[in-house]
Amino acid sequence: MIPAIQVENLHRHFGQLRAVDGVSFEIPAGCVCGFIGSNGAGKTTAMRILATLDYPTHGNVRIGGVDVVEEPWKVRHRLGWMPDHFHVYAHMSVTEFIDFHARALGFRGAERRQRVTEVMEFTDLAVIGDRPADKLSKGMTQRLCLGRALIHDPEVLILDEPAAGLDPKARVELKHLIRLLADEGKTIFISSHILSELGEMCDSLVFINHGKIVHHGDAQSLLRHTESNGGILLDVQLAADPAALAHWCRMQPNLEFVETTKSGGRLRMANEDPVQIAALLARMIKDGLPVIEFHREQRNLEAAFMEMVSRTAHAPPPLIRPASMEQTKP
Amino acid sequence: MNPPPVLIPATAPAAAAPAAVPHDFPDRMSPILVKELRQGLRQPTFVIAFLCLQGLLCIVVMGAVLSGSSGSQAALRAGQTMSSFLFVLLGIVILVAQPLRGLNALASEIKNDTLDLLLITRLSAWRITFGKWLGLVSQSALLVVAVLPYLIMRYYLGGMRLFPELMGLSFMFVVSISITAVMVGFSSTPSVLLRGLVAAGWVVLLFTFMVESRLLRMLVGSSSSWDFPPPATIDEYRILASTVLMCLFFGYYLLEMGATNISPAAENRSTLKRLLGVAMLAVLLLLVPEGGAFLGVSWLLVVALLVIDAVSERPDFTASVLRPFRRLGPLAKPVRLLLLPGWPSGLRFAGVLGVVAFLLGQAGYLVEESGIDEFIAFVTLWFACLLMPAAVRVWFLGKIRNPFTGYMVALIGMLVVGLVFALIADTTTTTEILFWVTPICPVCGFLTLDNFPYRDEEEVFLLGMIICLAYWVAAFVRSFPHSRRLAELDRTASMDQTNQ
Repeated sequence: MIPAIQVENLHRHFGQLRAVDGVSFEIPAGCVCGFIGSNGAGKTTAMRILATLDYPTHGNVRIGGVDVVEEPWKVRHRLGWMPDHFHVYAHMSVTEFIDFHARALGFRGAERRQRVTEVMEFTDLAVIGDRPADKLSKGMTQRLCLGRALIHDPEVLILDEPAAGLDPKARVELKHLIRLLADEGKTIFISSHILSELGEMCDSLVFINHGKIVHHGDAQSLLRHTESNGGILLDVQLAADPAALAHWCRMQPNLEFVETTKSGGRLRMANEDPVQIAALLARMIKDGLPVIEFHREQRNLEAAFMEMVSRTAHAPPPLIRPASMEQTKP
Repeated sequence: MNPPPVLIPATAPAAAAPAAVPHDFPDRMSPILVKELRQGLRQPTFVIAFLCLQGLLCIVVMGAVLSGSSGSQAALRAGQTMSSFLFVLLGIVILVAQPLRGLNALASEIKNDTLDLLLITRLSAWRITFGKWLGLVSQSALLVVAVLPYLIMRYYLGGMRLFPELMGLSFMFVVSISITAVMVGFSSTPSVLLRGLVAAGWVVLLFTFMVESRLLRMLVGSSSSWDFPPPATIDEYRILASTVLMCLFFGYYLLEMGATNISPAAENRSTLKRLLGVAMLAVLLLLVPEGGAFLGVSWLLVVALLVIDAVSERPDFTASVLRPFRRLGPLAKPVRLLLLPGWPSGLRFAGVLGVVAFLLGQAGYLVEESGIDEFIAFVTLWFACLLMPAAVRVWFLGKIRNPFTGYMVALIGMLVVGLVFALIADTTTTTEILFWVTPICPVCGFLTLDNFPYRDEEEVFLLGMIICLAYWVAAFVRSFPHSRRLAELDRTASMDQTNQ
């Protein structure tokens, strides 16, 4: 089966800066994939190439098997794009804005009116259709932008930071809309800084740092991946001086005292075998430590992401030799 | 799409009725024109211009009507004054206000990141640019149509020369739509300073024309009427037709330049644009009567536009652009050397235009026999002035991301330096300096041609030719890395073709 999004060895260089540096991944049809990376990691550049708005220096990108460089017009029929920064036109109502984009996408007559009505209802904008488009709240503007991307009912949606700047209520509403679209079987490629939400929503996650993919898989595999490299963390609380815990740890093999907490400490254990963890607790009690709380810390995506970024953070953005070709953007 | 889902209640009042889908414009109209009209007709600049024009014309008409009965001397004078006011007011609106709005047309889309949203629809860069221009022209046409009732009333006051006044109105409209196109084309330039200079340049040029022409004198009442005499001979008709054609061509070409500037790398706008430019040069050769300076001047103006555009185009394009050229078989390589997008092929194209201009000038097609030597010297200096900024840009202004902006910076710099040298030469009477600075500031060569009888045309021609070649070669050397990139794209294109 042809993947919905196929990226092979994608490079994009701006002069000496390698914004995207050999990125490859595939997203099967019907999947929701999160695209995660810190600012300047290359997310927006890669997404713009996927949306046919930029072109690769090297490499291939296909949407539904169609090359974005060779046949951008075909790709645009299958693709809905929501940019990170979105401005609407002044002196135009919400309905007129959606209607204009329906016309620009080639819809005519009754079909155009039907598409506009459906999108307005789906995004819950119908009741504010007469309002000036440039006077909407941030949340409503994001809905408008999503509505615009949905007019031609695309198979693939590329959403660049759709939840940025939204209040919690608007964020929940947007998440709800995205879930509904995923239930309809659309392939959604979404970037966001709110990793916990992405973890809930996405079938897979692509982590990018300095233009390179550092992880591709589901949220659980990411957590396992980072834990297996750094061990597991244990939170231990005592009914005694926490210094006793630090002292006890120094005498134990494969155990590291990470930091002191209010009434105990955090330990890192190299082995994640549950039997070994239970044996550790038994030893603590046997050695007379008054343990009142002992639990394994559940790592979240943010922590995993930070750990992953910190591993590669020491290297500056990769540069190439002085540009032999002029790279320009209008 | 499935039926609408139940969402968390939105902040909007639930009782409000859904807005109806607008029916204001028919489906066959260009989407971008629909958008521009929806926005443009509500913009304060248009509304204020429209109301002010109507209000002022109402006052003028009332004054004229109250001044005397139809056909009387007083009524005739009032009619002439009314014509003057009408043309000046309309001129200000459709020659200044409306075109200057065009300078923001594409710039606002680029600044607000809305251009991307347009480019991923079915709209091509050309349709976007053309639609923007058409929107402004439609509004100008609305303003013109709205003054027609006043022209009819002026007719009944007597003394109206129908043909010249209608010709004047038509010519004003043609200039308006052309200059609007120029402004819309320039609006794709990211440099605010450059756009400001273009606006200031147009206002100064128009004001100079008004001062020079009788338009301004009409305003103060010293002239009889807006006089645009009809052409008397076939040659005058041909010159008028050429002038109108050139206005329209310049407008079209600037729109194309704007479209090229915003077009995605997979869209090739350059080939057609250059071919149409060459066709325009051929039409001018056929249309403009021989003899006189008009043919040579108009030809060199069109050539200047083609060269400026060709040597300042973005050099980035994708392998898909090469595919249509491959259908030409053995002709593909030579054709694409001249017609591919980007300044490297543009340099070759400029070189060919230079050779053709030189040969036509030498053969006496572009100028009278007696002026050939001076014309040839002029042509070499003209090309030197066009190529010098191209060489300066590729060597020293590479950091300016938009090549056209870089070129214009170098061109304006050259003109400023030329002005300084001219002032030095004028105040110190050391006019010899102009000849020696021509290699670094070719525009000074024109003053040399005018002021130095002992620097004959042959000397200036020789100097101009050497400068031309030097700057062309200097710029061309910088295009070598692009040849490697072209070869790489060529391999990609051939592989794709094999796969297909």
